[in-house]
Amino acid sequence: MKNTVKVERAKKDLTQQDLAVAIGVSRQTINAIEKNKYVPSTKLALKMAQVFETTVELFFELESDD
Amino acid sequence: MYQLPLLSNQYKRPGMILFLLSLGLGIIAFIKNWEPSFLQYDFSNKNSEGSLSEVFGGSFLFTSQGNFTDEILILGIIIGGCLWGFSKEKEEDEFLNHIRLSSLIWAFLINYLLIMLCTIFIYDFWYLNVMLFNLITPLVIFLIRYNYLLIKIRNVE
Repeated sequence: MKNTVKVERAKKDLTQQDLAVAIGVSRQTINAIEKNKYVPSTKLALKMAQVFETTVELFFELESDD
Repeated sequence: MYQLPLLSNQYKRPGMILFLLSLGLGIIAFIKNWEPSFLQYDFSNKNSEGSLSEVFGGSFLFTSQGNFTDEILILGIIIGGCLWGFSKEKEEDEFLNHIRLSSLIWAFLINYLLIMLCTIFIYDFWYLNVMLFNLITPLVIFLIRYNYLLIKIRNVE
């Protein structure tokens, strides 16, 4: 799975810390998600979508091997 | 969101101190055969024939004399290690839950790998030591792996 969380975050002019506080996780978690080291739960993904005011599919995408 | 059943963050530091202290003293006690005399006990009563201790041959549950050092240190290591390893971080979230669980699987597998190697290569009396160490190795390997991963993710920018 790949994601464009970093891009969405830049669009909203948020730092990793800002996004982390907004969805109630640690900054390291956001970092791990952006580096594709961790796939967040549906709940977390939906919370991110709320912050970005968009839908989950826009910044999470399945890859061919998923 | 499903959260692991963990203790409050306040137990983390006391747990770490208790664990490291007990482990350090435990290693000294093991190498030097250290048994402080104030932990010596002797409950044997010469006139009590048929006492519980005698019924059980003095070795199971009701031993009449010995030293409490090893009991205290093993309990200290286990209680301290569990408090340290299973207390919440200040910012506990699902990613940390994930790291905790993967460290547990890691510790479980490495532990059994070690047991297999020891079973193949260590015999007789020395195998008792393997079993002694095995009381704490799963916890120790888990703590090493978990804290290593914690340091690693905290140091990335």
